[in-house]
Amino acid sequence: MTKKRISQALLIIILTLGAITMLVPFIWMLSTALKTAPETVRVPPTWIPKHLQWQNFVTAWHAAPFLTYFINSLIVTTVTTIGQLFTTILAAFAFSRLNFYGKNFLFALFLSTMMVPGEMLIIPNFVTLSKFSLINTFGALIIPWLASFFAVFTLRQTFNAIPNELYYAAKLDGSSDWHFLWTMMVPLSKSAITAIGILEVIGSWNSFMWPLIVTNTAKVRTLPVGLNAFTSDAGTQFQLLMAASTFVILPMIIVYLCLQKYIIAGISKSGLKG
Amino acid sequence: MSKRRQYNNLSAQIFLVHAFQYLLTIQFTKGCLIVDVKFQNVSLAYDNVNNILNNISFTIPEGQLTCLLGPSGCGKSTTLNLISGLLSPTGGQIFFGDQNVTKKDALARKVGMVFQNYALYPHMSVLDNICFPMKMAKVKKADRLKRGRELAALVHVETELSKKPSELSGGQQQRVAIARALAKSPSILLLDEPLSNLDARLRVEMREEIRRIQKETGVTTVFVTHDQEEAIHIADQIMVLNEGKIQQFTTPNRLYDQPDNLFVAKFIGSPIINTIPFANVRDDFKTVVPTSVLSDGTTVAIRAESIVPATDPHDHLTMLPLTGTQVQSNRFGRETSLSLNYGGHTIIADGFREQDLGRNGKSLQFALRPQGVFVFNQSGNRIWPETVATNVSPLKPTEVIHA
Ligand SMILES: Nc1ncnc2c1ncn2[C@@H]1O[C@H](COP(=O)(O)OP(=O)(O)O)[C@@H](O)[C@H]1O
Ligand SMILES: [Mg+2]
Repeated sequence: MTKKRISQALLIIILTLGAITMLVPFIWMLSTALKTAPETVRVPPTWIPKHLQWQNFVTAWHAAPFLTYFINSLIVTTVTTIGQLFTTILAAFAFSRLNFYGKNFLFALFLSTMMVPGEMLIIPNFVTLSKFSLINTFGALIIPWLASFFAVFTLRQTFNAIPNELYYAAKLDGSSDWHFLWTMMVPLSKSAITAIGILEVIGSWNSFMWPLIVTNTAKVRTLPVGLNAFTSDAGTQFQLLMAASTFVILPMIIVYLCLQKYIIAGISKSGLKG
Repeated sequence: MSKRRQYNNLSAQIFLVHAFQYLLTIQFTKGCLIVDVKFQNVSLAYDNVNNILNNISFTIPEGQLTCLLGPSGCGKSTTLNLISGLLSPTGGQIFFGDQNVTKKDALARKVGMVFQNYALYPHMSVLDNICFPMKMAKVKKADRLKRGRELAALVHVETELSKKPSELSGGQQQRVAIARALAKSPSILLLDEPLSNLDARLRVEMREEIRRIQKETGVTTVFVTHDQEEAIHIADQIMVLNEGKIQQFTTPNRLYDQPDNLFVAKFIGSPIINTIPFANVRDDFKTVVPTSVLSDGTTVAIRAESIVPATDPHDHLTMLPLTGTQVQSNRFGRETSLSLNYGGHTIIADGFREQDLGRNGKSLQFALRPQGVFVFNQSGNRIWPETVATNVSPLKPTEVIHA
């Protein structure tokens, strides 16, 4: 009984430490966003600002065309996520259920691309896109992310766990491959698909490096790139940067809180069954 | 007076039940073409090299329940999938009635199939599961819901219509799977080990249910199982398969009374038939079998119930009693099981009563009944008796109502 209690206490302590580590940056962001400029660099640092500077948010919002950035981010994230889910579902179905020439070779080839670090792809992708004159367009922001083999791999594992008999039964009942995929496989893999979608939404929304490289006008820039506005040769205006960061990540926090059930279910499922 | 009224009530009830069953039969055979299934020299190799099924031919008669019986891995599911069209043969032809369906795919063959794990669509309600094949066939919504309910009533799940499959018991899931298989008015109903996921008691109950549903619908049914007892109880005829070859294809009684080979003799019946090397007991059979059998026989097989006390008043196979040594005897309820050492082998006899037994380790006289004793040759084929007179009629399709 006491042993159980000790291990429980230990678990709670570890989880609390973990939670604090995750939360501190967010709290620091919020606290800095409400400070005056001198207060942001004061030593020792203060956690709670003397006078809450709410107008920092207004100043930050007007410092750059954030409304345009916001709309751009929304467009890029929506199109990338829907597009990626579509290609992922089709590819995962092909690798899981169809028989075609070179299937295993193709799968191994795709699998090996997962070992290439993302940074190495920046230059080749940039060159390719510039050859197609897509630099500084939405195309550059969207097209490279329309397929993700990691997502295909995860979903294929989920699809493989669906018994073959279901596929045969549906076939005998008159269902085509296409119909089976959308009326059986997809609804049955709802949580995995939602998890993949959410991860892509978050990844796409927060993406900074790639949009910075392939865009150079405000017309097509996205929110994270917009945060650059507060950094200049003269230094960084931390209070404005943090205020802007707050409204940039706010939609993601809301998305996460609403859908966390699916994210956790999807991750733990693909982990267990993989 | 009151007795008479009761009698009238009863007969009225019986009449109603019969009328209802008759209507059901018309109802469910409506639109189904009841056909036989013919395999002509069918072979199948999954890898195009090793034949899992080698050149097999048979006819499954229309409107009856046929079992495919054999040990696991003998090719039962493979045969079933060839009938359904989920597999196509490497060689040979398949006919439904007069129609050559070898090149037709699963959908065009219009078969209903029930899988071992039921394969119900987990995210759909019971009614939607049953109606799914009709939805695919673009039956109007009102019509398919009506027929879906009728089918649910046929398999007794009419109170579970809005539940999800996971909320049903194993037996209920099984019933839903059967209803769904019947929903497209199949020409043939295929069931692949449908009872093996159920517990023993439910297995017996569902076995009778499948029998009833088959009789009511009259649909040609092929039932796969590895359980000989299940097959014997449910089937009009049984095809025994081993290593991709048909061992024997006949009625359950004939399989038991006249096994064509040693495999069938050992596979059918419980306890398993006793086998003794023929050489050990040849002298005892000198006066019973012809000389050719004396020289060619390698194994004699004797059913446990054919070994009876020497004092048994019925016909005996040999003039003189035979002698063995009593090894052990057990009584469970009304069954007595006796182990005898005969011809250097321990054999089991269950035709003894307690008072017929001697003492363990002492010699015991016994006799053999004329039925249930077989001699097989080197290659396992039965060479004696050549034919056993029984009252089993050869395969005759029962009458089927075509609407
Ligand atoms: N899809 C397949 N690919 C290759 N071999 C298979 C496949 N399915 C079954 N087999 C082989 O065919 C043989 C017969 O299998 P099956 O028809 O499933 O047997 P049963 O249903 O009688 O247990 C087995 O040896 C099995 O290993
Ligand atoms: Mg099988």
